[in-house]
Amino acid sequence: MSTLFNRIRKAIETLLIASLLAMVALTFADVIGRRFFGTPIYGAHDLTEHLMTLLVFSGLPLLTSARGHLVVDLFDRFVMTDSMRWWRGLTTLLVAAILLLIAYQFVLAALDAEDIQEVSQELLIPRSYFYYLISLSCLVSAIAALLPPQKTEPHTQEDAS
Amino acid sequence: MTIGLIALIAVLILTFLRVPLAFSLLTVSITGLALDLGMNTALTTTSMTISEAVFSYEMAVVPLFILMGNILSRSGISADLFRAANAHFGHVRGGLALSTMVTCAGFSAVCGSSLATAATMTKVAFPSMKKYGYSNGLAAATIAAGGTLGILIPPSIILMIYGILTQTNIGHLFVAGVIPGMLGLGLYMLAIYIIALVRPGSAPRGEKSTPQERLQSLKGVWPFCLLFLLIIGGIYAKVFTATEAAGMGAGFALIIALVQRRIGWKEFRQIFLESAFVSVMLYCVLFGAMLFAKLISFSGLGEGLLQWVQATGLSSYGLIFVILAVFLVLGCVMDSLAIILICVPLFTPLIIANGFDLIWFGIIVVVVTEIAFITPPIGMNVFVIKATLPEIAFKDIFRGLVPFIGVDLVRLTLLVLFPSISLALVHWMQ
Repeated sequence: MSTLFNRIRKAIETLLIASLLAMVALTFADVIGRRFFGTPIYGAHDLTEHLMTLLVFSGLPLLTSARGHLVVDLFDRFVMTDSMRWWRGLTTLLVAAILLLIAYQFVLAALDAEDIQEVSQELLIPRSYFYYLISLSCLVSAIAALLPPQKTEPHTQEDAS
Repeated sequence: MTIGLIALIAVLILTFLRVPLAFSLLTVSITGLALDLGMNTALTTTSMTISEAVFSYEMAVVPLFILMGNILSRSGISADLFRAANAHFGHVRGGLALSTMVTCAGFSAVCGSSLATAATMTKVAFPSMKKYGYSNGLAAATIAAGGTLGILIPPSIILMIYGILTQTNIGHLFVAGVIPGMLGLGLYMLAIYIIALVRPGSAPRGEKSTPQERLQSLKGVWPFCLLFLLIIGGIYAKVFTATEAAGMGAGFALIIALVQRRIGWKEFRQIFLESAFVSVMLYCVLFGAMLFAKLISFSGLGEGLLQWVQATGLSSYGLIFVILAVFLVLGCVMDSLAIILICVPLFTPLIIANGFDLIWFGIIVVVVTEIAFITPPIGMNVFVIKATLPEIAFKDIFRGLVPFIGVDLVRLTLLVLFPSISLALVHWMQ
């Protein structure tokens, strides 16, 4: 089972690298093409936006699993004590609940987008697929928030101070 | 208005109780919107806010500049740059922090994004300052404060938004931002110099280099200079936008690093993953901040504050100070862009009615929102640094920022009392 999880994690990490590399390559080629050859890449902005969505929502489950979200550590001496364990549990539930709400809402948004055939401005990419991706990402992140933290390359944020 | 006020307090409490910032903002915003407008509207607003933010080409500037900073940092170019800086200024007390501040000003002027500057400069400057024995507080605070210089030095995204909102000439706003931006840089450098004099241990003096060593130290700097010129030249010549400049910068940094064999596959993978995770983290906070801004707007808190200001019957300058106080208070809990978007349309009629210049007011507002970038509890630059350097505690960074916030307040007072500091170049131009 852990081998399967590891493979999925590696696959997502590869997707993150590919998305970011594609954003750089696309912007680079678009600017060079536009300025020096008069041939910009049609829909480059559109593609960048979708790659950005792919990047953010592919990375969200890994970040949540690694407890990588930003926290304020000013009162750690108080919050990180054994007597506040219940609060930390409540915080975990709160994070999962918010992620589940967003997942639910994006299923509705995806269904609406299918109904009205919502597409991107230049390349006419159907938005519903990306809304489903956001929904799935938030659902997986909610589950990840409830499970024990996992180590993710290259580092994690929470509990670091 | 009551819901907005309670929401402000609730966000502060949850954040201080270690609820991840993104989720404290999202929780309070969704709850507040549900109470105010109903659950369905609250959830629809949430999904719309997230999709607006994530499907935004302009916001892609963040991951691309973070990537560029990571590449520069891991490929050793940053070490070359600071070797050069140290060779020239290292013997001065606080010299490396002074170099960092100048670099921050130059870089933030190029990219126009305070967050991207803080993220990039954390990678580029912090390891070197640590290597030379600078305290965590001074090193991190120098970068956080230096990042804010970019809001005022053109091209500035916030100034563009202000210009659009108030229908003020954006070119004039850019020109007006030059002297206040330089003044900010000068005062920050003065603050570093005084800190180095008062607490010599936090900014140690290095060894003096020979002229040959100084010349040799410049050898490794050319890639950075090339990137700097490319980005500055590109944006000023309107060859590309900030996002495109970020992509070009990241692309050239990657090419230089690969061609010069400064990074291998392992570093390549780490650089990209780290950049991706920091970006995801920042996006989550931005989702929360943008939704929270909508709650504040819907709850009528901004309007309530305006009515209160109007009801005071203050003199013109008294009014300005009260408005700035409102900006400062909101700046403690909201991101600068949200403050500009919410408050500027509300206060603009009041400013015009009192006979103030909108360009001058724009500069003042931007300086105030700069301060908000480094004030607790939601100083976004501090969070960027914390995201990149998790080992440094927030309290150390905020403590280090106190002198910089102090000189910022001095600058703000000077700009309010002497409008010609902002308007002289504009008048000369006209």
